[in-house]
Amino acid sequence: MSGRPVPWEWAWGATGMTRDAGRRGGVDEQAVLLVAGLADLAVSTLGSAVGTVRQLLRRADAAELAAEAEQDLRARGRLALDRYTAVPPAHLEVLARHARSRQAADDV
Amino acid sequence: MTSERWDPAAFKTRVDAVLSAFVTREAEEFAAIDPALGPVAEQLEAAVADGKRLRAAFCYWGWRAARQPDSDALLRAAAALELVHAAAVVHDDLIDDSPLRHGRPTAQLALRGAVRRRPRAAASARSLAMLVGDLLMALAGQLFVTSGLPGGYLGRARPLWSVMARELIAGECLEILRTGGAPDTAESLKVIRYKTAKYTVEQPLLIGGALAGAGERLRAGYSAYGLPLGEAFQLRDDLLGLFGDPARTGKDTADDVRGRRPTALWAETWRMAGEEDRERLRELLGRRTPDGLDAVREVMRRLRAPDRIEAMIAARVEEALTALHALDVPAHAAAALTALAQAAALRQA
Repeated sequence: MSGRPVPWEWAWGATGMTRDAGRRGGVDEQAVLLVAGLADLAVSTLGSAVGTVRQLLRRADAAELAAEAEQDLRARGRLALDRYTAVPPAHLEVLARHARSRQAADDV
Repeated sequence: MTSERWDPAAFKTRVDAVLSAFVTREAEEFAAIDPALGPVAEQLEAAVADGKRLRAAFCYWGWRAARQPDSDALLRAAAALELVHAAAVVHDDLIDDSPLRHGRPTAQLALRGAVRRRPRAAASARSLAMLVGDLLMALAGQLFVTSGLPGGYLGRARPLWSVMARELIAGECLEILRTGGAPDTAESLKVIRYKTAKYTVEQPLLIGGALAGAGERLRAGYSAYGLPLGEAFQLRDDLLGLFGDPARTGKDTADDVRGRRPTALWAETWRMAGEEDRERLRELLGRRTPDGLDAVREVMRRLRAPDRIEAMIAARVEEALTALHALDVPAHAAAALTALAQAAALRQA
């Protein structure tokens, strides 16, 4: 996992106590990173890790382990989103207004 | 509740909804085992029907004060503490042989209907109530671990559950062991600390903080705020138990005195009483009539025991708020914890 840009680092950082250090750039940009990071982590990292585990150990409960890990990841993702939606309401409102004005401009 | 302003009524509504949905489903599964279990299942639901939800609130703010967001998963974990409380209440009412709680028959009284035609019906009803309490305690753990919080978060709070259980049961045992003994204010306060104070304020805050990954300083601050506030809460309970309006407290005012409970109110009364008053109190406790209780109240008032308890409450609330102000927590959390301190110590029910 080293040497690659890791977009999900922000998401993991945000689940701990270091979220302020991780919040850089625009709010919308971070949202994209968050979703992309979680998806990336769920699909590639977790998928391959589970594949490795399955191959190496041939554990009968590998599918169950994967489901648990996925559930845990979802729980973390949900919290990260809660954090994201709760903290900067002003930004969200600005975004919403922006979207509305753009929509109004498009309608003209 | 995306707004940062503390709204106790909205919070209670959310906790009530979580508890009701969870316990209703559990009660249905329980009753599905055999139709005869219906009345016991009903008592599971009755045990969580009422409450101020203070313990859930302290857990929630232990989490929020550590700069974590409002979260439905956390709310479920916090609601688990209300199940611990519900279990403790059912067991407490058994120990005290209390007939009323929130103005309704307690579990052991309500369950008499289920065993009416059996020999030793009252004892059987008490046994059933004990088992209702046991199941509620198990359900607390179940709700907590299935709250939807990540496993890593839950793992941080796990050691605190054993501390909470140990201290709560120790407090209950100490109260029984000291009942009817020589009144002593320091010993009464110790019973209060373990039986109520810790699991009402300090442990819920610490559990919320542990879930959030709170640091050592914040956790020490939670204890410095939580312990005196928890004591103030129980001292208020003792005062309301004897001098409160039963229509508002929903409890029988005779419970503590009749049960010779080692309350601080009783210990302070005894400490201030001369030989003549002590003789009169002994004689009044022997009576089981309402006018006997009025006479006990009159002696207590004359000795200014309620005023002394009020002063103890005020000192503890001040200590808690001073500790709170020394903490580096977000303004909305500080405001909520201030409001909760007042709600816990200055309530009328």
